[in-house]
Parts: sequence; C-alpha cells; structure tokens
Amino acid sequence: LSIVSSDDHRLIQECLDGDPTAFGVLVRRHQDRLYSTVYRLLNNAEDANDVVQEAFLNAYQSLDSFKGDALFFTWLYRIAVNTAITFKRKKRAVVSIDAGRNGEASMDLLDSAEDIQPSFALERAEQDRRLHLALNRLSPEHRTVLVMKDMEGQKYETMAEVLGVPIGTIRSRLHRARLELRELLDQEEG
Amino acid sequence: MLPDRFRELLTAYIDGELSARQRKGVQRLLHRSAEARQLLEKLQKDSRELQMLGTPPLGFDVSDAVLRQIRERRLQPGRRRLPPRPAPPIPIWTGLAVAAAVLLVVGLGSFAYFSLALSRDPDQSPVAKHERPGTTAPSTDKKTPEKPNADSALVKKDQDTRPEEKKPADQKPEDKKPPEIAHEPKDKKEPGKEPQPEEPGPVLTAPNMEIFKPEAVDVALPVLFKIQELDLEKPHKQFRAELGKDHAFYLELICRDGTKAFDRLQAAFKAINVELIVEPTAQARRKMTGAKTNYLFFAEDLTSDDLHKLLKEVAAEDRKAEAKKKGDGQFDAAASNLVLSRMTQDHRKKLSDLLGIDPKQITGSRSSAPSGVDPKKPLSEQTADEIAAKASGANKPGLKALALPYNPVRPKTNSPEVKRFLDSRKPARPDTLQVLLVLRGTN
Repeated sequence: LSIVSSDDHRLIQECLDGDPTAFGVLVRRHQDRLYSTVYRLLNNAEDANDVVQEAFLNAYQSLDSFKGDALFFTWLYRIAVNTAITFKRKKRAVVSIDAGRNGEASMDLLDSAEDIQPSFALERAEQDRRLHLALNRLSPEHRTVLVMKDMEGQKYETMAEVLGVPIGTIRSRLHRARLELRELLDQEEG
Repeated sequence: MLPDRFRELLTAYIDGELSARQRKGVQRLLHRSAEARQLLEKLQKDSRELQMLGTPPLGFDVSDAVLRQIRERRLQPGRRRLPPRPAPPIPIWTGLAVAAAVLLVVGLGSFAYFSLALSRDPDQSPVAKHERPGTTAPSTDKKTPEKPNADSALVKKDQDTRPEEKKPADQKPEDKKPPEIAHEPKDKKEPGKEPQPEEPGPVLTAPNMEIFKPEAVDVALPVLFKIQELDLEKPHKQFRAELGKDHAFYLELICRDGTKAFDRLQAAFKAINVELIVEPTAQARRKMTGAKTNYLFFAEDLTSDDLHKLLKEVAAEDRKAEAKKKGDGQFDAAASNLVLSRMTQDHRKKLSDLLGIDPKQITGSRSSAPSGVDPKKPLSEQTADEIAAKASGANKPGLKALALPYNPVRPKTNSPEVKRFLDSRKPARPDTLQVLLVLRGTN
C-alpha cells in the first residue's frame, strides 16, 4: 500500500468542489490494483468488476470522510475489502440455499471463468484449481486474511486496521484459516 | 497431536510476526518434534502456492461505468458516511441462548395462562366462554375423581387475598370454590342404570383458531431441455408450453467452448433471417486462441416459432460439425444443456448495465398492433417485400440481434455496433418474445 501522490489530494479536492471527472482520473489510477485485490477475494471476474465499481461509488459518496492522514489507496483498499466481504457473505448465503435445494453446487461455479493460458503447465493449473476450490470453501473472513497476508504481503497491523479488529484476532483468524485450508487440501489430495 | 497454542505459534512463525523469544521457542519445538516440522513444511508450501496464484488483469477501464452511475444515480461526493464494517459473525451459542430464552418465555407464559384459566371462575374463563350452554368442562381423567388442583388453589388463594380486587356483592361463598366441580367424573355408575353415551364436551383450545387454506401458487421454475431433442414431440410441446407463459425469457445454453459454439449461433440466426450484430470486444475475444469467453445474445420480436427454429438450427449446425470432425460438437447430447427461465428484473438490470441504458428501456412498450405491423408507419408505406415476407411466415425484414461478451470481459457500451442495435429497436409485435441467451462454456 505504498502508492502515494499529492496529486490524489488535489483530485479529491476537485471532486468535492463538484468536478466528477477528477474522480474518473482517480478511478483510472487505482482500478487495476483494487481489481487485483478484489478478484483474489472473490475469484470471479464479473463479481470483482461489480464490487470494484461499487467500492468506487461508496468512496465517492464518502469522499469528505477521507481525512488525508492515510494514503488514498489505503482508504480505498479498506472500502473495497469490506465491500467484497459483504458481497461474499450475501452470495455465500444464496449459494448455500441453492446447493441445499438442488443437492449440488450452484451453477454460479461456472462463472469462475478466466482466461486459459495455453502455456501453463498442466500440473500448475491443476494445483491452482485445487487451491481456488479450497479457498472458495473458506469463510469470507478466513479467505480475506489469507489473501491479505500471503497474496498481498500485508502486516498484521495493517490488516487489523483495514478489517477493524484487534491484532490478536488477525493472528487467530490466520491460524484457523491456514489449518482449515490445509485440511481442505488434504481432503482433495486424499 | 500438537497443542493448539503451538500450532498457532507455527502459523505466526510463517507470517514472520513473532518476537525473538517466541521465534527461539518455535525453533526449539521444531528441533524436537517431527510433527511440528511436518506441519510447518505443509503450511509453508500452502503459503508459497498462494503467493504464486495469478490474477487476471482488469483489461478495461471501469471509470466510464463509474462516472455513468454517478450521473444516473445523481450521486454527490461526500454526502454519505462510509458503510459500516461488516459485523463479526454471530457465534453459535448466541442462537442457542436465544432459542432457550424463547422456549422458557413461551413455557412460563403457557403455564401462567392455563393455570389462571383453569382456576378462574368458570364464567370468566376463556374456555367457559366458548362452551355451549348447559355443558361443563370435561374431566382430564374420567376414571378417578380429581383432587383439587394445587396450582389452581394457590392462584385462587392469591386472588382472594388481593385487597384491591373487589368481589361482586351478590357472590355466594360457594362461588369461591375452585372449578374442580367441573372436573367431577360424569360416568359415575348408578346401580341398575345403564351408562348413557357421553355427549361430546367442549374442546380446550385457543379462542380463535385460524383455518389453514392451502392455495396453489404459480412458481416460475427454470426448465431443462436437451437442445438436440427439441424437435421430438414431447420436448417440443413442453418447450412451446413454457414459451406460452410469458413474453420475455432468459436462456442458458451450456456448451464446451463458448467461442466455438458462437459460430453455431451465428449460423442459426442467419437461418432464421435475423442479422446478428457482434460487439467489437466479443469479436476480439473470438479471435483470441485459448481465451475462455461466455457470450450473451439479445434478440427481440421473435416468435416462439423463430426461437424454436433458432435452437433447432444450432443443434443441426452442431451435429454437422461433429460429423465433420469427431469431438468438435459443442453440445453434450447426453445431458440437459438448455435452461429456460422467465426473464427477471435482475436479468433486465444486468442487460441494461451491459448496454448502458435504463432498465425501463429493456422492457420497452409492447405494441398492440397486429403481428408484423409497424404502428409508426401507415400500411401503405410498407413494402411489398414486407407483405410478402409476412405472408410467407418469415420474419419482418431488418430484425436484428446483438452479441456481447459476457464473462470474463465486459462490452463497450458506447461502441457503434451497440448503438446501431439500439437505434434499430422497434415496438415489438404482439405475441413475440424478448430473448436473452447466455452461451456458457464449461471447459
């Protein structure tokens, strides 16, 4: 979360002064990194796209609460992560109901499509598939801490700040998340 | 098995978030425990693999969509507080505690209600109020004369000792008796007298019991078909029957590869005389080797015959491809591959987002003009070709469908192709269908 730009502050001020096109510049500046995080949390390009847009709209409407004491991206990141967690919880509930009703996984699994890179080694692709499946079965909270720690390299302190929980909670969540992921992968391998 | 606190230390060790003292402790643990070493190795491997998981790039600019929504929803900057952080999940014990509390309250409430009801003066009892004149409350045990109810007596005693409660002046001392009189057994045998059949007594129940009236509810559930069997009589009838239930449908066509199956759809649209406009991003995705893409087709003003024929053509094209080259068929004949459901507001919303228009524009106005007649034009202006086409049962000329990429990329809403399609829209003829079809690849 090291992007810093005094330009961000100027653009924010322009937005608050009534120029929405300045917000367009901010969106273009941060959309790729934000999308990358949200995609990792949701594992679905379409959902990630929706959540990123929603996060930007939330941010736009709350722009005056950005105090400037943190980096703008950190602030956006927090909004996006929380929007994604909320989205995932809602979707999880729907998928559970569908799965319970049909006795099988939801059709939505088909939506986890992504570009297939022909150069990928088959083994690597299979490993990724298993990892994605296991990640999808974790609770949104557990998935979030794993993504933030392992895929984004965040410190416990930053994670606690973004998620609004004590550091001890982050530590125990990560502990449970790692063990749960291992258990799921053991089941897949076994 | 390792104690949980050791395992927690191991996970924090992987994260590099231990103090120097804790790190030494973990190293000592690893030195003496093979199980700890094995677990650490597995957890480190998982962590490394997570780090290597790739993320596809966004691939397009969302700023246009964000700014458009700001305009459409008339959002203002800084007029709203941030949404609260998601609340922590409610622990299981909270639910159990609430359930126990509810049970306790209901139990105590029922006990108090019935205690009071049974001990009260029969005239005031809610049970007695519903008795027929001349009947008494039935005994709960007809074999043995019932003893005075201890709880009722207690309640009665309590009522008697309340100073603020006035008793009626004409109340006789025997009125104070608890209602156990009503519980006297009716079937006391008198010598030489045959027992008479007992008249049905009043039933102890709630004063107003609602009568449950089951009603048939029409639930629009998706229906599954096999596209290859749509020309068979039974599936055909069922398909047509489903189409008769609404005028807007959402179809999912499950195929092996969306891009290969696209060609079948394109040929089928041509066969039913509908021009397919392909949005540029969709066109680009079709040319990308190995890129997995789902597509969305939107068509209006199709008759149910058209839709049936379209899908039959798709199946026929697919059979041809399979015959030409084995394994090239895109639709699995062994499984249901067509999901038909009625179009919902969510579908319209999604489509309107993709097209960059208001959802109301999707619903559109349905014409009351006779089939095939454009209400905006006088009949005399219609060409002889149009009239001939109608007479031969073919589509009205100029009918267009739009193909968009659906997943994982989004179309460009401002492309000339989308604009051309939107400009070509006309009020739909009566009894025609609006069709949203998603071609979904599974490989």
